[in-house]
Amino acid sequence: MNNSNWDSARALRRACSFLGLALAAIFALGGTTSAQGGHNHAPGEFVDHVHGSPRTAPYDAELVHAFRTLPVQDGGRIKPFESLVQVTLLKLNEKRSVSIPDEPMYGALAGVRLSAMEWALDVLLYPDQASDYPVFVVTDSEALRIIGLSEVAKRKRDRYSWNELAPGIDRLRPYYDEYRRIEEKDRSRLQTQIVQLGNDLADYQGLQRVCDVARARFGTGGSSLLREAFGEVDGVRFSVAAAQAGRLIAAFRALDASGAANGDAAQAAEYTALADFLGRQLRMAQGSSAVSWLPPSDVETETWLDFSGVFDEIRADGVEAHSAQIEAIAKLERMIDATGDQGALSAAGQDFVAHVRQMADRRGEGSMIDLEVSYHEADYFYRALQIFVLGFLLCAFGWLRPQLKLLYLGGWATSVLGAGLVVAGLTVRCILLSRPPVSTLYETIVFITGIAVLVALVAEAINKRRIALSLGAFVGALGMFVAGAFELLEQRDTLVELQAVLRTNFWLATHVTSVTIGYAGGLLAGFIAHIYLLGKLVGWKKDSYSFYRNIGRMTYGVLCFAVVFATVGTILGGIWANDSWGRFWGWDPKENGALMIVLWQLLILHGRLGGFWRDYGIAMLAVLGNIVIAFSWFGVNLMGVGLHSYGFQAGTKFWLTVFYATQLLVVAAGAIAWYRDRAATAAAQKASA
Amino acid sequence: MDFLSGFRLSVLILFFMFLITWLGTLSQVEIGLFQSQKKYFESWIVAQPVYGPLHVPLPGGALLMAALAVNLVLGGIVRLRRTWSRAGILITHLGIALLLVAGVVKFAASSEGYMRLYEGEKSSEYVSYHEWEVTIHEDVGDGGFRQWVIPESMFVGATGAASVTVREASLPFELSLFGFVGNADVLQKGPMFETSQPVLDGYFVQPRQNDKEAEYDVAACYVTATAPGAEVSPRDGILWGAARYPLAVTVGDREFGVSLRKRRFPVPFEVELAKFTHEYHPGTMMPRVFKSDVLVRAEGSQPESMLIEMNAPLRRDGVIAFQSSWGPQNAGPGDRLFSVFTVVENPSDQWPLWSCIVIGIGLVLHFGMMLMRYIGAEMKSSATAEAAR
Repeated sequence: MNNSNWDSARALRRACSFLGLALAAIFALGGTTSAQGGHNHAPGEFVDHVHGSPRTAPYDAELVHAFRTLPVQDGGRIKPFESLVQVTLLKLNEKRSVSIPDEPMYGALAGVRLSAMEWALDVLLYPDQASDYPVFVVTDSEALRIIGLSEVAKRKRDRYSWNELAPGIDRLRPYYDEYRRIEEKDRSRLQTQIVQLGNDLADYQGLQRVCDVARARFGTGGSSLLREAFGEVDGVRFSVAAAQAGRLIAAFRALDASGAANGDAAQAAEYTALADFLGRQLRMAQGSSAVSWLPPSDVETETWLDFSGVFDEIRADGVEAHSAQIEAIAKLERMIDATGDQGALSAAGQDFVAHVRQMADRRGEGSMIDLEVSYHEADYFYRALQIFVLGFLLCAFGWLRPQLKLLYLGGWATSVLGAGLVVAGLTVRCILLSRPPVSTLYETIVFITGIAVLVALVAEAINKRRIALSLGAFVGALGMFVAGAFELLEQRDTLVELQAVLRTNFWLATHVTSVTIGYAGGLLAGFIAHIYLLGKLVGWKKDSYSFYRNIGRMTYGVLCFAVVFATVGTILGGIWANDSWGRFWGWDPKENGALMIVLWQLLILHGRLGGFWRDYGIAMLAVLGNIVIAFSWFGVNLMGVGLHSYGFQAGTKFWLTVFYATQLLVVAAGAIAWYRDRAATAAAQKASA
Repeated sequence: MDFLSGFRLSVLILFFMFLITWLGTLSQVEIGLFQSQKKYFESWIVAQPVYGPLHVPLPGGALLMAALAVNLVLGGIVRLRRTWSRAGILITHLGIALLLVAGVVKFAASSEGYMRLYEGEKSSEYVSYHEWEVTIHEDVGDGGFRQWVIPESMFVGATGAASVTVREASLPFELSLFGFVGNADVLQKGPMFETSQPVLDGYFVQPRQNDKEAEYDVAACYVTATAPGAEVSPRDGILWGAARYPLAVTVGDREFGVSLRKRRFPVPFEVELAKFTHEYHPGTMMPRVFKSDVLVRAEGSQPESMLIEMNAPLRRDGVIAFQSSWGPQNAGPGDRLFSVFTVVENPSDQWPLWSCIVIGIGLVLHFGMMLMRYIGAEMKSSATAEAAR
């Protein structure tokens, strides 16, 4: 789904109203059950859009699961519908679920919490009802003013519904059109919000209209030819019409060739009716094109079809080759017809999904769908976050009650479990994408956290003083939290295909992993140094010389670990660049960032050997090293130049600045402690003298 | 000597390298990669703007690299104490020295350019991205021609009024070049403005600021042709890198074409683009694959068909060709496509790989030994702690 959908959908609506078609006319026609009774239109009248009754009962769990596993094509790969839906909802709602307020207007659903897929099914199957769900986050008051909602009294994080926002779309549009032309990195906060809101509305509208094709009944008008083809029916379904499309197009061309419009009046009417009949189907299909969920018949064709794609293909190479797609649409129509009865709906929905999966299967696609759905259900990284938090708490109590061995063991067990979850999650990602787990910023966050935790656990196993263990749990929790926050900021599927230059498993596995392991080590050393500096400042364990001696040695040791991987990884990066761009080193910002990390770490190590700084100095420099790493990791991507700018987010800039500031504060704290210590030592020497 | 081999210098070098790298990275937003590379990384001294007109001199990349080489060789290799515990450090430093040498060799002896081929086209030369040359061609009939080449290094100093005169025994005339500009337009002199540049037949060379992307620069210069005792026409002309036709010079009854163009480098084989393939991830505009099937013909041997794609260049006879780009960007289905290869000749092409292996071994050896000692000490201390209980 992208921005152009909005344009096409709106252009379509304009075109339809121009043609005087009752596109928005809502006729209650719930298939088997009809809540508002009967067909209140004359036979032969054009009926494009039919909505059913609202949902009152919960979905059958099997239907929801089936739709989770429905294969669709998006972002260049075949993924479960669940992945697409989660990201769409995350964009609108900043959450993966929808809480329906406990108010009478929501009827049977008041106070209910919908999962992402339940919400999506409501948007697809009960669009009128779903239009009242509060799912849009709009925080900027200026944006609210533009869309005309500043009078609506809501708290800042309250959500808005489609029905609340839709009347303001025309007011939003000129701003949207202007701001989206501005480069992303140059947009102001308001501009970013407006563009995002516009995109969200377009995405939502796309989803809302996806099933319109299956809901539609196309009237035959006064055409005898159409009546002959379809019989005396009350509106023809898309699938039925599509099955006859070849014949009708041939008839249309024949009329066109015979110059019907100039001669016989009856033929002219026939010609107009036929043009109208076909044209409305095409436009309807174009409006319902937000999801590519029909595998093409031709195995050579990689691009999956949306409804308008099916229509185009039928026009191009006949009906016969596309019977499976028409069958899928027919099954979707049966599903739409069953929206009044959850049992029947579930059966029809599962039938539809099974059919599409079978089509994908025949092409050898979609084999990872179930694994990907289970990946979402397992939610490895969120669970790891919970476990790490628990582990950190256990460790923290362990410091208060050192004699309780159980707390220490509990800290170990939870940290190992958390690390295991991270590793398991990364492993599943590797299998899903058939590549090493480090190619996007999101993946590097998870990977680096995992490595940092593992290194901390190894350090703990060697040195057994609980410092590394506590820090490991803390870093694990922090990393998983940042990963989740980043996903929310980025608002896209984190499982992505790579562009050509990155599609090399050898270099991803060697260069990228070793550089990121270097990052992980450097950051861990920096965080260990936090304990040193902050501990000194607040006077924690101030009589224990060996405690600080130990932290100092650990900082140094982890730094040594980091420098090995950072150095080798950076040079490997040059060798990769030499193979893909023809030069070992090109002073590209990302390359420079990696070099800066290596230089900084070497600076710390060589200065220590030269006796220019010891534990205090190393700790402060290691904390500054965190800034260097963050600059290289995220900062250079914000510059918007160079070959490596593969991730960009306005929100990142803010949090990056916050991180820089906290690190500087820690260094300042360390400097104060150092100065105080030195003064105290000098005073003691003076006194003893 | 102690200073040159000491840690104090090491730390200073590392710090300034860090600083220069950082400043050089940030400056790319403003002045582009090529200029920042020249200013920070290939210079001896950098004048870093601090505030308004205030500039602070900093050591440039070249100076730092040179100092690093001295410090590394003296302190890190020659004067390093020969003990087993320092074996890893010695190996690592040797690897870094090799990397530095590879860099110097690349800087001094490599050449780089591109080869652009439409499907079915062939070529045995590539075109420099940045370097210019002046060529003189003479038609010798039957489709053959003679060629004289004046490399940029000969006329790069011919800026402003300073001129460079090229004499060649086999040429019946002398060519003087002056007013060379790295990036310029050739404009018509209108009546409403003055220019200090020489005006020839109503045209003059208007210098322009260098482009952020240096390969978009278009050079220009003035030439004067003289031949004692022979009729030369025209005597003066403007050469411009973007001109479509050479400057035609008649000397007596012989005709020559003179042009300014990007430098060409010959390669010892011929490359023919058989087929170019590009694929997108389905349903998106994100490139998945682009690759070129080529036929390579060396003199006296059978043509070989080879594949050049992203991350898999063609390496042969010291020449490396990489898939770098393609076009035309607005091509529709079925249109004839071209493929662009970056071509590099670099004697030290694979040296970084060797140095990386050496450095990796050295680092693992050194820090591995340190880790073992640390673990040993920890075991001992926890054993004594147990015993003390």
